[in-house]
Amino acid sequence: MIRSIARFLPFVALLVLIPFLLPGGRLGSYYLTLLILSLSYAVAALGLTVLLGYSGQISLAQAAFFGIGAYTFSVLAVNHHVGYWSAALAAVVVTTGFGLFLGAISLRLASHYLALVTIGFQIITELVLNNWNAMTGGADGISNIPRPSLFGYAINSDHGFYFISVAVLVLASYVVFRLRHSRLGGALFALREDEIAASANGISLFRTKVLAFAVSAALAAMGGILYASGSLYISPNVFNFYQSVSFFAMALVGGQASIVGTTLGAGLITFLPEVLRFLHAYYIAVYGVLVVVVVLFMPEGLYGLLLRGVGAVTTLVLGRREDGRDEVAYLKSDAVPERPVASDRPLLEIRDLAKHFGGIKAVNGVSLTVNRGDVAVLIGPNGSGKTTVLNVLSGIYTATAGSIVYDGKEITNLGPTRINRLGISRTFQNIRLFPELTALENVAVGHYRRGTVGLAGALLSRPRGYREEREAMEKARETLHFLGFVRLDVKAKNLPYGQQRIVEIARAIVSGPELLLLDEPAAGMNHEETEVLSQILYRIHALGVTMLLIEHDMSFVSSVATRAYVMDFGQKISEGSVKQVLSDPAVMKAYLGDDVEYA
Amino acid sequence: MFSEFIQLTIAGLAVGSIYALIALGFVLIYTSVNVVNFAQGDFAMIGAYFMVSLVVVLHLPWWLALVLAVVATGLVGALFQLLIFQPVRNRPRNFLPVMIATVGASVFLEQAFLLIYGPIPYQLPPIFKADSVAVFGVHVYPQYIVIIVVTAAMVALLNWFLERTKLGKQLQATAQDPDTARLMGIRVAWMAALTFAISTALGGLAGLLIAPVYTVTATMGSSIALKAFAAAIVGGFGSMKGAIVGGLGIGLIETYGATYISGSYRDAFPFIVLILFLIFRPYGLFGEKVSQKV
Amino acid sequence: MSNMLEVSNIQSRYGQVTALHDISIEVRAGEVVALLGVNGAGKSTTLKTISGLLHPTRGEVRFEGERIERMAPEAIVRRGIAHVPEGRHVFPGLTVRENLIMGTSNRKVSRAETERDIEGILEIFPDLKRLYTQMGWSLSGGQQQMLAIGRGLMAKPRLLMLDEPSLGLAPVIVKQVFATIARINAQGTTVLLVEQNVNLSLKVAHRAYLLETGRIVRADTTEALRADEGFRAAMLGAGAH
Repeated sequence: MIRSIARFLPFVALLVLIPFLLPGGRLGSYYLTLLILSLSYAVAALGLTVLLGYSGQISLAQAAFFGIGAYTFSVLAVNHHVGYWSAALAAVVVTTGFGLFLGAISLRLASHYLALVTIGFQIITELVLNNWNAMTGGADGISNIPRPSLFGYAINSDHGFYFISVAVLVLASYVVFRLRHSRLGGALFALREDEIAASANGISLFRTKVLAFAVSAALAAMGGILYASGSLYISPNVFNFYQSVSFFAMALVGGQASIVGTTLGAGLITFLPEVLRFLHAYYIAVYGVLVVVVVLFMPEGLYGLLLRGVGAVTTLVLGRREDGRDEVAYLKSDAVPERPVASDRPLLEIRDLAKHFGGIKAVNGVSLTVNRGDVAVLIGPNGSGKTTVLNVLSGIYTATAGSIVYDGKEITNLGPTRINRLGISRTFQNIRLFPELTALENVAVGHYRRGTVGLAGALLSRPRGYREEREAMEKARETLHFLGFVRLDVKAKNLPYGQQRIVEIARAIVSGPELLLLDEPAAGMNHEETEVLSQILYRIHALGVTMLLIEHDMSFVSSVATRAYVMDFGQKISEGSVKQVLSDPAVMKAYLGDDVEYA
Repeated sequence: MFSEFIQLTIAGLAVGSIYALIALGFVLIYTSVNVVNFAQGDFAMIGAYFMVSLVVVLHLPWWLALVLAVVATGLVGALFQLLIFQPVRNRPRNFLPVMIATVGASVFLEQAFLLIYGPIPYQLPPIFKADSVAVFGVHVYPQYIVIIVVTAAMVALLNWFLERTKLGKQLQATAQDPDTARLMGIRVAWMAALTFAISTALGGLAGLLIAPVYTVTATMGSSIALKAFAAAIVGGFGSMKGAIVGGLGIGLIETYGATYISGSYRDAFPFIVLILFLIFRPYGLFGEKVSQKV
Repeated sequence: MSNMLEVSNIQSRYGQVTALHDISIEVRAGEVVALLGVNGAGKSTTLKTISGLLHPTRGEVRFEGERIERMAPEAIVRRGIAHVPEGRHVFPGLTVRENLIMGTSNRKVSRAETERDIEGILEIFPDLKRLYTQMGWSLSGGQQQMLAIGRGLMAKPRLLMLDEPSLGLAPVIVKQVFATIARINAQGTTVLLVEQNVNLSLKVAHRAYLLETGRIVRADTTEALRADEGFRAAMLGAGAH
């Protein structure tokens, strides 16, 4: 943590030094004005780092929030003579309110749609700023905007205000940084990477999206206040759609999820006109082309490219560091842990469950009971409806008919987040890890439902925030260790298939669920990996976790399951011990097909 | 009073037709390649400038100029697709980069045409020179009638193409399941190019039809496009029927609102309608709620 | 008999994951060849690599002597390989008739010829006649499977690849599907079949390959495999050795 913060120090030092490196005279003061503008943009663009970079939500309304912040502040400070800091605080609060509103709408919209909505919000804001003459001064804008005083000293000079702006930027960066490393940061990333997996890990999509929008709006407001106070004058045309695009460009150029990158992006986009001045009339057209090229061909942004270049050079000079690619120390223990005996108290009861898609009856009246301590397996040919049962069970699909009772409580159609919070967690057939997060971070997200720290806690209550954060990481590390997994810092997308499965299982058990649902955990694994997997399931079972799994590999099923249910064609056709069901003629027929002549 | 209402209705339907044409372009591209083209409005501008060149400079007859301008706009659209969408078509999550790239392209196109045609607005003569024409005894601006008729014809043509021709069905098949379409032998890259060509040609048509009502400037497309965009959402982004109904509805509401409520908020009415829809019916009039696949 | 399809030592990846390690398959003109194996063994990936949806990282695929492993799917289907994908993938928003017509996208056909071909398909799948103007999404699983196979046949392929045609179908429908496969083959179309229904596959196919984690572990005639009790046991307790 301390080391991560230390990384920022050179940039802060640079920011502090810049004014002393500027040329004197008029040019120097012109550059200083531009620098102050860049800083205000950077603070607002950091909002996009959170919203777009972390949570993956698209907003083209950042300039609207920037404007709402600037106007609320200016109207209060100029027209109503409210004190500087009170006006600023009020502006942040008001803007955050609008952010909450937009975030609340966003839940109901897929990401593409959301972008469209934010544009609507942007346009409406522009119209109101332009037309509400009594409040905003219309197209004339508001002038004579004050600058702050600190400890009794009025800070009126550009130099003084520049340092205030740097301080605000540092504060904003700290907020974003703390958020990033808190439990909420994990939730934001999970949201970006995979909404279904996020909600299956107990993360409320609604609260997380609203949070991202609120933080983003608050930062935009802070930027807007700096802007107003820095340029002493505001008018509606600063806060238009193109400014929103410009904020986007700052975040993208800098690399969406990087604090330093975004700050540099803000500087670059603000100074680009100066750099391109030699192009005269062609400058804006060239700017448009640059945006296209950067966005399409540099997915990690210029800053990301720069970092990669630096990395490549370092590797060239210092040689490659071993990343321990081959030291996969799967746990190999011969001691079979003692497994609990299944009780006869039901934990999960499914009654007459049905799920239809259009003309297809994927599940058509399935009833089954899983007792505490069971390792129940659901088998059946492909397409017999097993995965659909699991998806309805975990709240991802809604049932067409039937009921599900868990631990005596009716949980039919509760939604994935709430079902997870009751202690049911799952893995997916096609593995839904968060690809850009490391193995450790993935598992830490699984711990989310055990955490309590909210936004204020993450930002203010350092001891508790830190403690929870450390605890989640510790738990994640422990769980991975428990499963014999060592490549903690490798991004999930770079792990081989078998290891991804292990990480996904770790994510599902890190929060200590009572019921674990596994969808084809052995699919695509070789013989050796499957053996390891049985070991792992033994250990999890030994912890007292009840399991329901779908599996095709019969030798694996025979070794782990205490009870089996067979499905075919959307219905349950057999149940009993694995041995019993495998010798059932109906099951043979379902699996291998009929033995009679077909034609 | 009544005749004013009829005049307003016709004006509203005409403006709405323009929104509908551009909204159709949004929807076609969105349903087929799942991106939103924010340069859609600039193709209206391009169509209008092409029309200016063909009519004002080359003195071609208007019907020939109209066909040439629409086709030329479609070609520019196909080229645009080649540069903006083709390079990243197979990249996962390409929605955001492509969308921002289209905004960048929009900036570029506006500037490029500004540099080519200069900052002075062009006036495109209306297709019929008369100042007004009587419809049911009410005097209306003839260009409005042209807009409504040509749009209706275009929508009918598009419907025929999509529903009655094999190529149209191939276009739909590609939108519904591109991988399977490839397995059938449908050239999906061509289909994407064709989709962009059709969508941008519709935009071009909208631009050259509305040009005589406004003036031709480099930025004429962007404000129209934003309202068309609102129309597409109100209709249910992804529904062609929605785009048409949404476009006409927005046109009428804007026109009535500007006259009966407040002229200075003329541009706000479409977006107020939009916000109301977003709160109470976010998937629009004809949109279907789609759930993510597990 | 010469080899119609020759797959030599291909390796394929899904992202970072190697799905096929070393697969070699031969299909002769007129044969029905089955690919068997558990989920994740690489059967579907093999078909996708042949039809061009995936490109192998190593190895080559020859169809009638021509190398096709770098070609796009739309080019490969023009050469006479039709791939009916797993899960049927009927176009949901098109009618049965329109779905069938899409099958002819790999060649130039006259209207009359299209109508004649559709007649031929409806003869094989009489059920589709009744559903002719219904949308793809409204069909049941079995009906969709018929449509998908019919659509594949509309391409007039010399090699028809079927991925799990019995998936999710009622036993009686499965029998119909397999009877159809035998009939299609008898009419001269070569078939490469991926199936989980081992018994029926062994009946309809001439030869079979058994895949396991991206490798071929056994290749034999179906007579030999049928006679081998151990093989059957292995298929039921898949993964056991």
